[in-house]
Amino acid sequence: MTQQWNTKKYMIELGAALLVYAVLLILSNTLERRLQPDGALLVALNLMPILGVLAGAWAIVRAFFRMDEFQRRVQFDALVLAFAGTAVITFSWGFVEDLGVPHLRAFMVWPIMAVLWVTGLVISTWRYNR
Amino acid sequence: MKNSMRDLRSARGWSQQELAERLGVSRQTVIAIERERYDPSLPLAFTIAACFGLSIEEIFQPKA
Repeated sequence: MTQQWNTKKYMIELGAALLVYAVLLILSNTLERRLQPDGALLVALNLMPILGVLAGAWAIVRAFFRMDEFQRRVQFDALVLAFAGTAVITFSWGFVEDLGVPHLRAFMVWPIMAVLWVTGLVISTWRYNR
Repeated sequence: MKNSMRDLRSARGWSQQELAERLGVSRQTVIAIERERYDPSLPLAFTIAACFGLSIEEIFQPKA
């Protein structure tokens, strides 16, 4: 199986997962507005889009295991930067929250990591190709 | 490590993409190895050697 096919497969799987996420998000909001539930049903409705997130995570893990050794090395270098950078940013933010800085929502942690991951990929790719 | 992969590939008239497909890796991997930016694992080095019909030592040498 060629690497191009692997990339195509990843894009299809991730695209499908994002579609599932979007549909479940809309469905969850619509049902919540119409049914106005409480208790366990409210929690379940709010967590419904997570099924799409899980599908996306599964697509990413599958793509990682299809990569060759060099691609994994590049990803590893980038993820180390993302892991360490997210730790520095979120811990620093946590320490200054007591000084009046707005509370950092848990929703923000992954976007921070994703930005650092992409930055790490650019740096890592450049290092191996210069 | 130094390697003569680029010369061996050119001598056979293969593109980087063609070699990548023969080795079952990405083109980026072939580029990184040819530029001596990445040293392949032992299993991949054996695959490369088999692809060219040579021994590992004939393709990869330690840097002086």
